[in-house]
Amino acid sequence: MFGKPLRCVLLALCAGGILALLTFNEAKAVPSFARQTGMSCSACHTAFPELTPFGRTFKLTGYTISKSKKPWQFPPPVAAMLQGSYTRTDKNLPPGTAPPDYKGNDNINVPQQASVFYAGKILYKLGAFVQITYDDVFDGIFLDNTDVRLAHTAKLFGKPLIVGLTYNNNPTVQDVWNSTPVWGYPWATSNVAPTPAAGAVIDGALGSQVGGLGVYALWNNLLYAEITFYRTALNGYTQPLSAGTPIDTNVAYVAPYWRVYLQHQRGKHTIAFGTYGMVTRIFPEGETRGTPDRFTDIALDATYQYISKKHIFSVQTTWIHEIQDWFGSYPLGATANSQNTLDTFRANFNYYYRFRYGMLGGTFGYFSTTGNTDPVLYAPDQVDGSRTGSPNTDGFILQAYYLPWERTKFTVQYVIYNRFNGASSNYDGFGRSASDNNTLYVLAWIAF
Amino acid sequence: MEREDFLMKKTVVLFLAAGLLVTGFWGAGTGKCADERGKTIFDGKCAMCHGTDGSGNGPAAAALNPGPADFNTASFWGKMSDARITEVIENGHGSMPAFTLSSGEIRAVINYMKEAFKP
Repeated sequence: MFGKPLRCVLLALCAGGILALLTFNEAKAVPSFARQTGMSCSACHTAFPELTPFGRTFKLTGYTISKSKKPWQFPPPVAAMLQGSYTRTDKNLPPGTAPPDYKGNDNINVPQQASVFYAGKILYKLGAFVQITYDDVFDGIFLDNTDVRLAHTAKLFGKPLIVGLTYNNNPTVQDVWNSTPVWGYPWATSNVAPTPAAGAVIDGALGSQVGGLGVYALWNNLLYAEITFYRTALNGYTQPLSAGTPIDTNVAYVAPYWRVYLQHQRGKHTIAFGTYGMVTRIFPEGETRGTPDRFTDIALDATYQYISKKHIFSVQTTWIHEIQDWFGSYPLGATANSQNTLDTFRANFNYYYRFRYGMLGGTFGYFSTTGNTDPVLYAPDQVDGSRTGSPNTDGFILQAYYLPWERTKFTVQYVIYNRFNGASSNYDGFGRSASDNNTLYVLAWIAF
Repeated sequence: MEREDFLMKKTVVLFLAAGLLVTGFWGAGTGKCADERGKTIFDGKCAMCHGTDGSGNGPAAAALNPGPADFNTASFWGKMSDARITEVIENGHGSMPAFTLSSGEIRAVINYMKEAFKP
């Protein structure tokens, strides 16, 4: 009755439909936290990785909330994610300045990243978020963000208290707000586009370079406090936390990290104000002994979140003030100043709309980095350097999202630079303008 | 003629009785299915915080502030109308996340909660 071509089309449609059903069916294909709790992803996330109030509670209680009453989680809470991307800058990168094996422009990166997670309960009150990642530019597999927790709930002055221990490898990976570096906007970026030269140590320089053990408490769903002590992951009990990553930032001694915030929830609204910071001593580049430099980071952050059935709105902002004491590098001639300061500011406004066919959203973000002029530290260099010796960079990041279902996110991102490494035009001393680094980044992010 | 009338009436009555019997079983079956559906949804999505007994003492309850509501109290049902319960399920409330349920599923859950917990 049906011709062969039509039968093929019907078979393909059936196969596609079955695949779609399997994809949409929560029981068959959901990340491990959702499997463990029996809840949908939207219980803990607005649009991942942003957390809801319940998601923050789930993380603070050690990733152990489960629909099962057994002390362990079976099947093990394993999940995976895949990222594929396209990157285009307004002007081609000059020959020899793109990452190895990448073109000067129009780079398709599939996979940009592929990760496997152990994320959920281990035993009783012990849980973990462990990410093992393959990165295409790094061209290797390494232990990525890792946060192992032991948490307990109790009462203090008649009010609920969550206390816990965290063992992690990246300052602020353990934080539950999306206003701090690790889980902050813009959630994901191109790993082939040019990036500004300067950044605070607490703002991503220590990922997989350190390991830390800390204690935290949240009282009455109101006040949170934490102290974590980090040390180098080059050796000792923290060494496993750097598996697969060469240590190129040698932290000396112990680096204390602190975090305090106040939060308040009322109906659909949540607001939080906080501070975080760290004092880190790092040996000059290439050194493992001698006099280390000292970086003192003091930061403020704030978040507002509104969640309703159809509309989600959030604002995150952070300001990091870093004092750089070049005790080791200055005598070696690696900096022009014995002390510098660096200020980082970010603010972003997010809106999502839930409808029958998924979720649409967008973010408007502003970023700024300002600091002392240091012509030795920020020297001229093609694309990555500074003609003026200034680290000053600012601009906007615009993003649009579509999540057809909870575990898949399509993002279109455009980064606009007003200034890059100290200037708008000829910033590097080789004729490149800040706007030449404006970047179009298209990302597909799928979790299993 | 009278015998035929009697047989006709008897047949009609028998059919009516059979029809009522079938309708009665059908109606009862629908109610039972709705209760089971409500219980299944409650046990799968609500009990982790509210407990299978609705007392607000599920496995996740200790970490939540304010704690999950106790559905076994008259005060809960005194202040929470069906419309308000529906609104909370659809939008969330405080630490309670929103749940994506159809209107029929929400109705089934509320009916189950009333049957199982309401004093």
